[in-house]
Amino acid sequence: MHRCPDPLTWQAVVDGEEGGAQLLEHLDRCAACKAIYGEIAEAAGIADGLFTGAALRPGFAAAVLARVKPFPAGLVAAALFALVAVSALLLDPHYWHWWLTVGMTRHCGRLLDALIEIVFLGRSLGPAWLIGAAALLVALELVLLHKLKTVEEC
Amino acid sequence: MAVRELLQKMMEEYGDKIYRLALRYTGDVFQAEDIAQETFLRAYSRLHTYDRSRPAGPWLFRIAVNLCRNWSRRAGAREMPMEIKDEPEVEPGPEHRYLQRERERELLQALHKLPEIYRDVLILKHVAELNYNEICAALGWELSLVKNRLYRGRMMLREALRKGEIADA
Repeated sequence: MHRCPDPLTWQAVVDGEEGGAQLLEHLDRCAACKAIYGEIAEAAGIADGLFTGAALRPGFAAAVLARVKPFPAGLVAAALFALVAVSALLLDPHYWHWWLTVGMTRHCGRLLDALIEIVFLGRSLGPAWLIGAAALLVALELVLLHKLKTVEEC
Repeated sequence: MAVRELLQKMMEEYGDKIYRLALRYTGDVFQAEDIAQETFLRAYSRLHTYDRSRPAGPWLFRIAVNLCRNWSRRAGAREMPMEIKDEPEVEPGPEHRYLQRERERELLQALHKLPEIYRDVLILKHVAELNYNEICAALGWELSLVKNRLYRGRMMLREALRKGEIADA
């Protein structure tokens, strides 16, 4: 190594992030680099004084877990499912048949499976996304039913 | 792994480090514990943004640093505490303890006079003991920027302490 490494390289050596044999050999031979290394090591030593061995009090984790409320996924899913069913029923009971034939039940079942897998099995997708997806499904269903009704009335 | 178990594991692994980081920002054990608690509560509510194939540390430190920065901004008008309140005594002898506290007070005073970007990187390196790549992930900076700011931060801290010593003399 003929050229002197820059101070950031020496800093990486001080921090144990770099430490090739070539670098260390150069450090042994070069007085200028030794001086830079010494300055960095001194500054790092001063900053090491910031370290504290303080630890959290026992019971911290329990206190946090007590404040964590699990998302009531089952309840929300059941409510949304009921909403889909009631909305279909209110528009026209006749559309139950259509609802079943276009496979909406299967899609709702898949959504519920996903809800259970994600929330209960701990994959925790944001609850807002789940509610959003289910609400979108309800809206889609209402629009479709409304369109069908309009077409039939014509 | 269930969400609560995951959170518990994160607290076991990173709880103390996050607490220490918050302690250096706030200088108050109660505020530090509040920030540590808030960090994990936020982590819980944002678990969907965490990539489980990576270590949780940098992600948690990012949340903690943001909370500490917010705290610092809110506390900006007040005087920043320069010594740790109610930290347990570890060294024997009143004189040794006094000198140690005095040194710590000067160091914290110098640290809190530094611009935020240097303070953040120094705390993550020397208090939370993160390596360069973890600091990059926690602060969202490039590696070259982390190295540069760490270098400048250390030099500024050393300079500030030297000036303080001259002023005291």
